[in-house]
Amino acid sequence: MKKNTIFIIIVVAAAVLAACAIWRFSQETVEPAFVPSTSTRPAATGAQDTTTAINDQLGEIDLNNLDGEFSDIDKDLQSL
Amino acid sequence: MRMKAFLTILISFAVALSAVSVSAQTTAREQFIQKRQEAEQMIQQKRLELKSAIEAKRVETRDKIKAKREELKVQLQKIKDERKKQIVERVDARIDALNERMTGHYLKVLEQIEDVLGRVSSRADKAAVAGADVTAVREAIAKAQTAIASARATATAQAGKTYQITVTGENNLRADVGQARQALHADLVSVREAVKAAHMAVRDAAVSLAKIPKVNEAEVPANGQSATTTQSQ
Repeated sequence: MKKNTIFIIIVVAAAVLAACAIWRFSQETVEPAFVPSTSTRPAATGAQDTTTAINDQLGEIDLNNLDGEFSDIDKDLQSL
Repeated sequence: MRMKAFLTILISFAVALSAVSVSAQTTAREQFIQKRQEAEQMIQQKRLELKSAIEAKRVETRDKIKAKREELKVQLQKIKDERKKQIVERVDARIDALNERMTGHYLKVLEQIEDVLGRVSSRADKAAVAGADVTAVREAIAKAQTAIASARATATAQAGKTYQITVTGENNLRADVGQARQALHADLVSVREAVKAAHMAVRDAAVSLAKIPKVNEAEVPANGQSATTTQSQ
């Protein structure tokens, strides 16, 4: 085989490897990039938007016991 | 010569393939970022408008409360028992305070629910970029947005309400004050039910999202630091 041919084969192999590498690293996540600095809310990123995290966040939301909030008023009403 | 031509074509193909892949990933990522930014900005804008509207309503309500307290004082002149007078005035103040506190609480809960919906939407966008069918999730998200808007309108209207105690006589005081208490309770139950409906709608969207296979593995690809810098500025 001529030297030129070997050189070209090496160049092609390098080019294919480079293409594969670019493709692979382009799949990496960029979670911190999605945090808008103007937002006061927690960022919707990374672990925060997995289905498990979403379910946990929904479970943590407390609607309060409404009837308990009326206990002081009801005590006063009893004394009328 | 044939070998050289073949190799040249191969090199060109490899370079073109890498360029196309990078370009496609960049476009998808940029679209994702833009969409998330627009959604964030819209939510922030709506919240600012809502805060202004609620503040204006509270100023208006304070005036109404002041006027109704004066009216109650006049009505209480027919009551001789000073202790009972004080209790009625205290309950009247407590009713107003509770309404303000609970409407504030429900509006805050709605913000939390909306934040969670934002995360459902974010994850759905990532899944869409990864090629998943997110039609059902998008429909559920739209329903949840409507439910949140409806609950927010109910809570905002509630923030502007006042409860007038009508004194009919010394012996009827408990019933008279009780009517105002019942009216507030019924209204707050309505607000709570609207907030619950919004919560359920977001849960439905989350359930719909979880049905997408490998949804938690879908991520948006990165392409260098330039876009990252722009984002965090």
